Amino acid sequence: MMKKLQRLFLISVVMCLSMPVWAVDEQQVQQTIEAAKSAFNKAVAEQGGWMSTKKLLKDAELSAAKGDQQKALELANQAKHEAELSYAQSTTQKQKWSEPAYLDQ
Amino acid sequence: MIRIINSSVAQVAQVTQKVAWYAIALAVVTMLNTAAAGPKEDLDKYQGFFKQRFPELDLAGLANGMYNFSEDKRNQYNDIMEFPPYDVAVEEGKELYTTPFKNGKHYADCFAQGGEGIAQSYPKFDKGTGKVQTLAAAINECRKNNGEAPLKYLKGNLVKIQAYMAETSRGKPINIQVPDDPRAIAAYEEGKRIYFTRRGPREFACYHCHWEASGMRIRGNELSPAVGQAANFPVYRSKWGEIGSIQRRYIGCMRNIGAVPLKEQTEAMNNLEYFHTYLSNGVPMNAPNSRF
Ligand code: HEC
Repeated sequence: MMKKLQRLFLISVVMCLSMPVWAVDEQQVQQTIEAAKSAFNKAVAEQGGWMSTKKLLKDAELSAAKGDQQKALELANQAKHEAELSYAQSTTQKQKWSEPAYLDQ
Repeated sequence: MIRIINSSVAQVAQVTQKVAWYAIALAVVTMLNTAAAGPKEDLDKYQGFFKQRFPELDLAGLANGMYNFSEDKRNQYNDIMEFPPYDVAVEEGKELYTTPFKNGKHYADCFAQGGEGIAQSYPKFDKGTGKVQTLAAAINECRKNNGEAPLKYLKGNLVKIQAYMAETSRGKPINIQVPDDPRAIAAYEEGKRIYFTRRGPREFACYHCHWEASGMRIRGNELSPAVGQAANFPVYRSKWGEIGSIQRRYIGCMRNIGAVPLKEQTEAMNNLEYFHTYLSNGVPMNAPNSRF
């Protein structure tokens, strides 16, 4: 009886520990990767985009392929965030770029 | 009495005429002032910046780029130049250039002066298309018009042909024209915007390194001034182990600052080359050249 309880306890601990992995479903990861990719392409179309985002995207896809969905999701979110920043950079620069002020002295 | 009136009428007429002249003069001056945003005025301002920063260097001197700022590197450069590493590319380029196409025609048939001594005028605004044409694109257009497949842009045979053409322009001052055509001005202005645009995660623009940091060191490299750079291209780079185009170099700098580079021979990239080469107007061509 004691042994059975112990085993049950162990199993539930293991289940709890692996919960986060189960919590991230593959579909959500793929959707985030796609969203990050399209945000990145949008930035590149505006003559922006950062090389680091390319790497994050690649790493996210690699992690997903290896089955580490948690890691893949983190990377994809990071890539999406960066892509959005770089898009904002390129669109604001189009309005706000300027020659350095010292040229007019 | 009548005579007096007559003379005062004449005086009034004279004054009116004078006033009219002043008005016209004022209008002209105002117009010139508004035009002060044009490429010509830009060039005075931009080259003036480097003249002030490096009073000891003339335009040809500026084109020596990083070798102005390190005796050690200048010595290495001089050693390399005893047997210029681009010579082979120029020879191969000449061979390619003079070999007839399958239809019997030559590259020389596509260009003014048979293509000799014209490289200093590229990139060029093309009235027909309303766009900037690089020398590389003109070479490929010539191929296309003669039924040949286009060549790759950043290195290889096309750049060798460019190297040969540039060799025939050595010593000629760069002479980029921005004609008074709104499309040419727009192309120039886009190139300028791209040049002054911050890109990459650390928000670098070309001018951060090649204007205000020119002559200073960054990660073991002395930074070349923007004016004069274009006069050296294409270059044989030791790092590449071959000859490469100016757009390949732009791509390298964009990558180095963590930005996704613009694609070669796109309108944006060509406009950047247009602006960047225009900065070197008056600098004698010294291309091809050798770089680390
Ligand atoms: C973070 C600094 C940095 C920025 C920003 C930068 N470059 Fe450079 N660039 C370099 C360094 C370093 C070299 C190699 C040393 C040299 O020749 O200046 C170089 C070399 C070059 C050269 C070759 C010069 C020669 O004489 O061989 C060209 C052309 C050039 N850069 C163009 C650009 C353009 C166009 C941009 C903007 C898209 C740009 N660079 C942005 C650092 C920078």
